[in-house]
Amino acid sequence: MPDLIDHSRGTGRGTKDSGFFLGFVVDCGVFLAPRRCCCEYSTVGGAVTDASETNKAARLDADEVGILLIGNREEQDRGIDLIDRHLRGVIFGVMRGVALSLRADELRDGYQDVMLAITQAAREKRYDANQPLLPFLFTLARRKAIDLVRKKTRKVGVEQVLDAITGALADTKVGEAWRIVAAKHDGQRMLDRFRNAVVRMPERQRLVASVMIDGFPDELSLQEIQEELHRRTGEQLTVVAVRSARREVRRKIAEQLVRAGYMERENHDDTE
Amino acid sequence: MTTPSEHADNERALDALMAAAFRAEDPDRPVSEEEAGRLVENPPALSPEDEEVLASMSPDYVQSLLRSARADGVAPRFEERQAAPDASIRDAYAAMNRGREGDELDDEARREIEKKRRELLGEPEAGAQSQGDEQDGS
Repeated sequence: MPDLIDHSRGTGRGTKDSGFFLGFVVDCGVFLAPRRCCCEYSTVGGAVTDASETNKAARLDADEVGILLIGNREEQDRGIDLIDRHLRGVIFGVMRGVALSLRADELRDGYQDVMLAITQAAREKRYDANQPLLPFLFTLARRKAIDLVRKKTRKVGVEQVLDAITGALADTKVGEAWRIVAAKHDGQRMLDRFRNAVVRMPERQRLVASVMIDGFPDELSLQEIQEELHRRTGEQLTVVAVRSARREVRRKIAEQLVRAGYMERENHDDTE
Repeated sequence: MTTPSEHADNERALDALMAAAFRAEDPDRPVSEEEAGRLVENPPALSPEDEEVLASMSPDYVQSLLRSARADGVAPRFEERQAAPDASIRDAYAAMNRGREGDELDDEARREIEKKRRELLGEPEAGAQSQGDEQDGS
């Protein structure tokens, strides 16, 4: 993993002079390197340059982008382009993290909406360079994704979900394992692992998982999962296929606990 | 030996943990700077289909859309949405400054959710310094 933070910049707070806006403090100094960028940029002497020309390490200066967004139209376009090239994959991931049930093309539409919203804000001088760029961008992305999901699914509130999770874990072997996770303050990392495991599942398993997740705390029967999948995708899976996918989903979640050393592997059949 | 009942309870518990991964947080809460940094350093996973879509998008994808929308409406969705009012920016800013118009949750409810989430994850109370929570990345 490359070093993504420019430590030479201390807290990242500072006054920028872009030549068109003097003395503006931008409270975000994280330098970024994209995981999936198509064209690499770096900042050289305060100017954003194409790394394919300079062979410098790929880095995006969030300060610089924030200032570009409050510049003239050409500068705004440059800022939008930098966000697109450097953060596209991260924004996709942020949206996927809250919108498991969306198809990939819907996710792309959501990404378009995010970029359009940023563009509009820049054009209409509503972009606030006093706000740190990245938290703002990711908050916006998450909200866009959630809005899309809410059109498709119905969910109970977070508090009820948390209560139900606690209840479901009580007096179980899985719950015992989770207590160790929590005692080691490893909860967030394990939830990240669960999330990544689900997102990376083959499509059928992922769709079954999304129905189970959206339905929680209700425990949906195989037939209910089958019907909901049909409603969402038009695909008519057999109950056997749904059962097989659900078993794999659960096995892969359990596997995360096993691999992290919190639980022993257990071989058993889906008894339903 | 696991009884059928215990087995069913464990399956339910696994479902709960999976739900926790996606639904244990208030989805309307703003992304903090710390979290934003973490997201950039460790980008969330994408599905194989997401990766395919990403790979199919040109490097100047958004610029192309903007140009097309300006020129001749080749990207009608983008153009159409450009014309539509968009409250998302205002909402995102409002969230980052706490509170959002039309929010269903008040501050007390948010605190309660955060307390329960922290208990579930074994995280210290807000403001408390966590000691020894360095975990390896394995």
